[in-house]
Amino acid sequence: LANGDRRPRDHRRSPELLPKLVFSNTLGEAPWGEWPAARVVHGDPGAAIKGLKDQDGKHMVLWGSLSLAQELIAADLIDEYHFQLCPTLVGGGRTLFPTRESYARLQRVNVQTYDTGVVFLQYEPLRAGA
Amino acid sequence: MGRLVINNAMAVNGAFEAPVPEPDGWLVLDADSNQVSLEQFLVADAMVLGRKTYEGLAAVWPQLADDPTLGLFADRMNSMPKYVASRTLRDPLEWNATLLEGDLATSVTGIKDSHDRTLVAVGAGELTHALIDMGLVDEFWFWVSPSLWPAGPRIFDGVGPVRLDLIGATTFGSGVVRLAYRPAPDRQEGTGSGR
Repeated sequence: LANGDRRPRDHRRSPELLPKLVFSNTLGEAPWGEWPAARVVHGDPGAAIKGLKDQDGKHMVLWGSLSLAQELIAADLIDEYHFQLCPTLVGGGRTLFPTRESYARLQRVNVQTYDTGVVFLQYEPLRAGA
Repeated sequence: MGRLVINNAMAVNGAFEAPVPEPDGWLVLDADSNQVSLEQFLVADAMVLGRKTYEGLAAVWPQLADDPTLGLFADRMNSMPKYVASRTLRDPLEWNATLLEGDLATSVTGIKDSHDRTLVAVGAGELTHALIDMGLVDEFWFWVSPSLWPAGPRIFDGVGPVRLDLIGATTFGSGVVRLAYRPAPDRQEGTGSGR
């Protein structure tokens, strides 16, 4: 997981060695230093993620990537949100969620606090009929 | 010397104004968090309100005095002393309210001096923005409901940055999380100078 709260002890699980997908319509390749390169995916990210979710395997973590995140949120493809709420009021800047007329309920899964003042908040979307 | 607290309910993304029409479950009010919220108001000395929030609350709470679930809360809300910041209203005000007259920083510092316990500022409008900017806020109490409302305005747009210290996090079975913060000692650039 990319949360920083659970540092992988097994180096085989370290971020360097996890398979990576980079969504881009301009990149031809996506090298990752001395580590295996990331796979570049062109075209519709939603369709690609749907295809990957249909396959066997473990979780996928979306790291940063605001515009990609907004596209996947809007397509209702996010199964969990992991927020690290930093102890600062900043009334401005770009926002994570796409600004559209959508109200959504969430289910709180986990909350942890850290000495730094960071609050880790984990939610799942509460989907209609779920 | 009393402490001034800003108390606000919001969605996970910081939205604090209800969607229209208001969906079921917008800002969850479960019995447990409601009780904690009531106790906050029971031990507080007074509320501090901007004119718009004052008019909104004063129109609603007196009607809820006989409500089976919110009646106790309404009794406290209705009987509490209130201080209202406004450029247009004139004393006497209804709903046990007193006008904050003259310069805001001076009048708010005055009521902090004259009270020993907590003054709860409710709302997220012009008044609370000014109180934060002037460095007069001692604590923030945020009630985070498990919901998203990305199209709504977000709390404290245009404010800060203000560095905070986390002083409490309480989870309720309903999914509500109460987060309490205090401005960090080195909270921001140019603090305390007023404006």
